[in-house]
Amino acid sequence: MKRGMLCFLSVCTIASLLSLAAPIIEVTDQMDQTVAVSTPVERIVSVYGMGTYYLYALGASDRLVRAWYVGVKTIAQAPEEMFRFEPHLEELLTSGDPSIEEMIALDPDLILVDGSRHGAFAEQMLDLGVPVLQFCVETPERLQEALLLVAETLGGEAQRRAALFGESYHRITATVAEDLALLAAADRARVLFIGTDLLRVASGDMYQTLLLEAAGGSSVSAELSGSWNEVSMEQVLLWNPDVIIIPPYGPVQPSDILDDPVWQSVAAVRDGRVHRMPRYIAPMDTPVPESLLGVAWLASVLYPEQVSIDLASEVHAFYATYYGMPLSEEELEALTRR
Amino acid sequence: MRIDADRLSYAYVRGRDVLRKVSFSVGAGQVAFLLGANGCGKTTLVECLAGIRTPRSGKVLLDGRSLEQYALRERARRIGLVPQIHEPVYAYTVFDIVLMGRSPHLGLFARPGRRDRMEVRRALEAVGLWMLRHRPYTQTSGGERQLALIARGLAQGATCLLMDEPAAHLDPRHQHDVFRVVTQLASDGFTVLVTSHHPNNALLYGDSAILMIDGAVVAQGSPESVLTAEHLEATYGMPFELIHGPNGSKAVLPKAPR
Amino acid sequence: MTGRRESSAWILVALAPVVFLAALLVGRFGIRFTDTFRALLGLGGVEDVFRALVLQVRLPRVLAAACIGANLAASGAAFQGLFRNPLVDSRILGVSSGAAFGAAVALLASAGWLGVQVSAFAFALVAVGIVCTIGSRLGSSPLVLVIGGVLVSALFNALLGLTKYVADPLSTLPAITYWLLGGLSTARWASIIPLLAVTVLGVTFLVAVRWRLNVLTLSDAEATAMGVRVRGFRWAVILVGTVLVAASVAVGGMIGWIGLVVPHLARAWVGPDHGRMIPVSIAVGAIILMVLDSVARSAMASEIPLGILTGLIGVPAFFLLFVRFLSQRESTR
Repeated sequence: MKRGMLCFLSVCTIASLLSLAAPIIEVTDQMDQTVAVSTPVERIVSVYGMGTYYLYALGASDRLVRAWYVGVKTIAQAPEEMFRFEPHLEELLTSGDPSIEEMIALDPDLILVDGSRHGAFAEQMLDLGVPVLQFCVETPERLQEALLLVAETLGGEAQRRAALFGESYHRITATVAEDLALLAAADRARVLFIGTDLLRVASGDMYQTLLLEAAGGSSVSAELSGSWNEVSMEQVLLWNPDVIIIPPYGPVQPSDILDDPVWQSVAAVRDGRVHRMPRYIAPMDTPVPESLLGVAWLASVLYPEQVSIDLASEVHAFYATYYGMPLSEEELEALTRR
Repeated sequence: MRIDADRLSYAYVRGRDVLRKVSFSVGAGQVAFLLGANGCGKTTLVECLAGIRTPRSGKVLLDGRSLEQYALRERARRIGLVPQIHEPVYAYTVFDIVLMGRSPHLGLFARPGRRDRMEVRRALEAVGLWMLRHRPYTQTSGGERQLALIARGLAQGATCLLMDEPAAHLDPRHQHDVFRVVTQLASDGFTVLVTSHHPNNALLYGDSAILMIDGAVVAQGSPESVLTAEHLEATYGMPFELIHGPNGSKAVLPKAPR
Repeated sequence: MTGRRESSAWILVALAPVVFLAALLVGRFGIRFTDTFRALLGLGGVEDVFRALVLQVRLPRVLAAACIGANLAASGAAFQGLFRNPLVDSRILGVSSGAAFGAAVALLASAGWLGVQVSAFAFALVAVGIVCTIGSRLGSSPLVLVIGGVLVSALFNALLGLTKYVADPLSTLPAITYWLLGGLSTARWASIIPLLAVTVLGVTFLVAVRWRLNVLTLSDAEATAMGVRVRGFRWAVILVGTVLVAASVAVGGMIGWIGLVVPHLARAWVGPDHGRMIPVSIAVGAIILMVLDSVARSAMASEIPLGILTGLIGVPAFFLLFVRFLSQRESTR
């Protein structure tokens, strides 16, 4: 125990001495903490399941030494596509609560953390002298800030991509707004965004609702607050949404709703407008770069006549640019169906 | 009705007999007192007589027939177990407590009817508690509770009552009330066995006495013949003397302790 | 005095169907009385959406609430008598801990509502089965059974913690958490048919044997001396009570306090005689849960978990009852 501590202290001293030679940049993370990061950043640990995907989008995924991936806890759960863009998935993937000792053993230059979940862990790592960036991504604007923040520590190509992402997002939302400018308020789509269960719906505070609004729709459950809310069937009938959207994860399929006798009175079911978001890698209704495609997909589903976005080319361009992966015809088909 | 114990033996743990070949009999119209030190097996014996415990060897006979030949409900219609009074969990009325005694006459899904309520009334009147029938059991005195339990035994239709230490927790007045009822029942033909720690009660109210030491019967007969100084000293491990009162009454007292 | 208790009992029992009808008239969606009754009676002239709402959404849900309230109250009352302990709840033998674990496992495996119900029911029976096996080895006295229940509950709670730990925090964990809070939002005809059947059979049994439960509140020795086969009867009541609770938890999640508080209310109203107390408990349990469920689904746009409502009402109610109980005991000394 004593020898371990001694070793540890020596390593820290030498490391800090060495790092004095390297350039240090100061960034302010999304919990308003100023963090000193010594560049170049070679070893990154991402405890933030969504932040991991930021690194792929910014082209810095080769610097990952350990990562949490949102929605994937074990290798068995990982979809095949993941291995295409991350051949080292087996060594990188981990889950559960982060252990401080493991982190130290990995000797990271930077750790990405969800500020609301692992704030205490972040504090402890900062005290030990390891740079930690805490994220709090609740809106698409914050997502862009987050990408720029990470890119700042990585420099060069990463910053170019982050800027490109911001531009793309603005381009898409602007196109949608323009296309829908002549649409009367009464014709706006009223959407019910369901979660992993038929009667679990998104609240007004959630990212999904903001995506809906960016896509020109409005959420019928915007009056609710917090996270996912459970509602009664009666409330759904009262809202009577025009469209029902199902997230790309969870067991609910459109047929579960379309075939259910109790749901038949809902406008969306009568018109057959029940859609499940497609999924390729990360879920596009969560604060990951894919949410760019989420807006595009939602807009083309809600307003197939009016919106002029070419969904297929957007999707193709996205995966080519941010993941370096060209998609095949079938994959493209699957991702753009409604 | 006549109840006989025929060489009853029982052990909770093998090798340690609590009852050793206990034999005695109690006839109709008799009040028999079963006396002995704490732990000598009286309660176990009563449970065997009531058919709740099965003796390891020996038999219990009712009017000459073995108890085993009677179904559980049949036994309950003949023998009434009157336990020591205890604090009940729920505040049933005296009437309800006695009404429970009608169980042996009611099937699994049955509920008490008019006939049952009449029997309860008779039982309560026999012990003198009819006026208290709506009083919650928890608000009655010790003596009243003991009488209620006797009434319950009567409501069962039993003609034989096995009373486990009815004098426990009762002051002299209430003890007297209870035993007055007991002797009245005996004179109406009931068979009563009373376990007790009070030899004087046996002298006052008993027709016969049975003395037990360490699970074996050492003497039985009339109370005077059984409750001699030697017998009592052997039973309770301390010296006693027999006193004769001016009116022919008798009592036993510990011998000059100080 | 007996007369007053008797009539109070009948009034409460008669109140239940009235509350049932009233609950059908309540909901987020405003429907006219006349439309509701026409839909219920199968008459024409009602819009499809109203008809669907009344017959497919409200009716099964209110029925489920009535059944669950009745089941929990009846088994709670029976267990309080059986275990000679007024502080016993219908979940004393580990039923709900087993059911919770079963539901969590099914949710982990992404099973649909049927899988969750079946799993919850099965594990509830497994939990009680373990308790009874332990019990029968050690003499099956009430004390042994209660301790067994505590141990088995603790075991399944630990296992439940494990399932929560491995559950995906995005989708599965919230599903498990929500199930545990209790609620009837998913009640529909298909999912409540088993519950209805179990309720009818089980409650009928407990009502039929209610007088004999009085005798079980005495000691085993006394009850046997009065001709009652104590062990057999006890197992039968435990089995029926357990199945009632298991079916209720499988459909509605963890809804507590009904089994504990309602029998006390019934006893305070009509006395401890199970002959009156059991039917009153059943009626009051059904009424209370129908009322609480109406609040749960109508007060706000989002559902209030039923387990939270019963807890918020149950705790102060029990406290008041307990104070009353203590003062009564004082006055008898």
